[in-house]
Amino acid sequence: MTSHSHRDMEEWFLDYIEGTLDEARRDAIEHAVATDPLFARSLEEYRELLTCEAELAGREFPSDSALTDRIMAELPINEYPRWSLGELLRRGWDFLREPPRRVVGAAATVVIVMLVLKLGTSTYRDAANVIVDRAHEQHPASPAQPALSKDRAIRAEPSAAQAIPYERGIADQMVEVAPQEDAATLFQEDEQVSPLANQEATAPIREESLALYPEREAERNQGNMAAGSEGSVERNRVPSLESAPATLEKQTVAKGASPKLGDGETAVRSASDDQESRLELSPSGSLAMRNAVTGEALQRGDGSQGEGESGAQVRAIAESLRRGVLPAPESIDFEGFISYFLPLTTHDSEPILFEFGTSPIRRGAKLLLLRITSPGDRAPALGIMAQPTLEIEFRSDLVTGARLIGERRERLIFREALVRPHSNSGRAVLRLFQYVPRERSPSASPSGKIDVSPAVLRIRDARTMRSDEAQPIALLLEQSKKTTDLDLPLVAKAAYFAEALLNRPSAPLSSEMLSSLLSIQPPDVDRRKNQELDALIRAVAVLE
Amino acid sequence: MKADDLPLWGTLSNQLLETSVVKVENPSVEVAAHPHSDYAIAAKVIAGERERFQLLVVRYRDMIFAMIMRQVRDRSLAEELAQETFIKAYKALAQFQGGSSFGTWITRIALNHTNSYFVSRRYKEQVRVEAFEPERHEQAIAAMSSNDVEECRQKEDRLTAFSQALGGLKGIYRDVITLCALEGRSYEEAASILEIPVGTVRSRLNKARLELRDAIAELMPQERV
Repeated sequence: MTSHSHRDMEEWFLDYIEGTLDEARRDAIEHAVATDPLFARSLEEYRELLTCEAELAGREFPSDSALTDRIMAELPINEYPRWSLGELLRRGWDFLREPPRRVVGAAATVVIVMLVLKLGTSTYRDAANVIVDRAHEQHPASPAQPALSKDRAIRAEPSAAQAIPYERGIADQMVEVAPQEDAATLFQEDEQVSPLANQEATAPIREESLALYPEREAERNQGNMAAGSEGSVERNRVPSLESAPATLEKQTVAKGASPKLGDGETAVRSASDDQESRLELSPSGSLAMRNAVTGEALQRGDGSQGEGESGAQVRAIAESLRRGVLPAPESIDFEGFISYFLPLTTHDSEPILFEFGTSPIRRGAKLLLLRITSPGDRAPALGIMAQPTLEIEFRSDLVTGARLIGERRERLIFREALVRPHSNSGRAVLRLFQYVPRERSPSASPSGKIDVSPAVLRIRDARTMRSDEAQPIALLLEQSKKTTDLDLPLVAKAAYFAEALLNRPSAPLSSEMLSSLLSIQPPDVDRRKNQELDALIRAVAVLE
Repeated sequence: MKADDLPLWGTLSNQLLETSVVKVENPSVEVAAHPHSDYAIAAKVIAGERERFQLLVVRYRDMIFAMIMRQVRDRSLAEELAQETFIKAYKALAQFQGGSSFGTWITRIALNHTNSYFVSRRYKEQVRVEAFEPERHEQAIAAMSSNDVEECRQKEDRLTAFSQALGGLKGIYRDVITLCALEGRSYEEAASILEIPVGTVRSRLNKARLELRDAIAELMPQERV
């Protein structure tokens, strides 16, 4: 018999010892015990084990009576509380008499949070409803751009109301310079701007802004009654924009670049030494802002996304806009403004080419020039803003889409823009306005392509012919009269003045230049505006 | 302290107790309905009469302590484990439905608790300490009043080896050894406590003894020579 068999027989030990094993197995075990010493030893050890068990089982192990007390002392007290009416009343009274601080604090927190949420939601909902109602009145939704619903607006950030485009026109922003006013004071106001723009070109903007904000009309009327040039900029300041991050870095400016406007798509490049960016605006209103440094693009509408430090922010803004949520202006910067306002204004109007540049007019002060070029039938307008404390610094990645067209000159494509300095930091903040185009004349380009009006081209031509100054001015004015029904002559005069400054950034205005400019008396123009422009020219000359 | 010495429940408690007992639908209802039954006492404890638990402790203290003592062979440790067993039972008293006696129920708790101890780090560390305490054995032998000291020494060594081997067994085998071999419970009782068939108890018992035998032989190799 093998050991394996013995192992199997060990399974019978219990029955064997207890005498319950059947006869055949008992015989097998007894035979194995007799013939196999190992198996016999195994059975013997089994029996010794039973002896040990019996030994242990037979011993008495009385417990200590103190064990009971120890057990009772260790029992949890509140495991089974006695719930009687009296006990409940007693506990309730104790709770009310000395409520736990945690409970009181938590309850107070919950109440405060609920109140804040309720008040905030109701207030914001009211504001959002007003905004959306007005937006719907002024801008009915077009297929190209879905209208914002009230619900979406309500879901927007609480400060979305402040993100509504700053709809007042450039003319409203600019200080009206009275002829008899001392033009020099223009540059002493830190926040004042000295603009000159085509009033008719900006009139629709102003009208719309007043329609959206009737209270501002009264404010404006009141402001107009006030004497002098004060107030308009201050009045129209949007706090959120004032506090908007405008960390601008000095941009490397390249020389000799010239504008190049494509057909149907305008591409402008930043000619910085180390960075090159491009902003594209297609006729359909889609915006693609590419960062040539990273080679990645952000396109609005097709879902492709760009990367980079600013690309993520723009992408987030684009995404929120796609959802109809207005981003808070505090959370977006210059580039965000561009991304934010463009889609709001591309559905019913053509883009406008903005060119702005600076020219130092004295130490620590620069003259900011803004040229607005509208496509088709719209005439170029030029805004000139003199800021004594203006230090124009454009962060290289901030002017994504800009292309330098000359020294200290940059160009961006916006609907409408006003560049003004930050109140304290001396940095430039770009403000954008919603633009409402005028009705096009029959000669307007129906293609919606961005093009440059002949007047602008003439201005550039005049610049090249500056050796003979009288000639280009006359030519320009003559040409301007033919191309527009606006105050183009006046605008052209201003533009020429600007060009003169831009091309003489370091040299003062010569007396000849001054006299040439002042001698320009465009016919059929607003005499008062002409006087304003002359005052500005004189002021600049004085400063120079 | 005897159970009878403890204050009896009042009228209100009795009414509550009777109400609770009636809800139990099992054969032990009649037993539980007795005001001195384990179930009745447990119901009162649950109802808030915490001091009633002392009755149960007094009733089952010796049984639980002895059972644990036979396994661990250490009085202080056995008291500690017994105390923890009763506290566990007290916390889980609401789960005691009266389907079995309180003794069966708390025996199950004690077995589980000792099993947890035997697999704990605490036990393993204690075994290591005991291996380096030969004087402890000498003290145990000296304390015995036996004429044959050598025989007593061998017996004590064997019991020590048995305890060590018992601690190394699987829990299911230790349970049947404890109940059937050390506690003298019948197979039926063991089957009831362990909630397994009687045949399973028997087969486990035999396997447990075979494993114990081999383990003891490893612990005391000179015995086999």
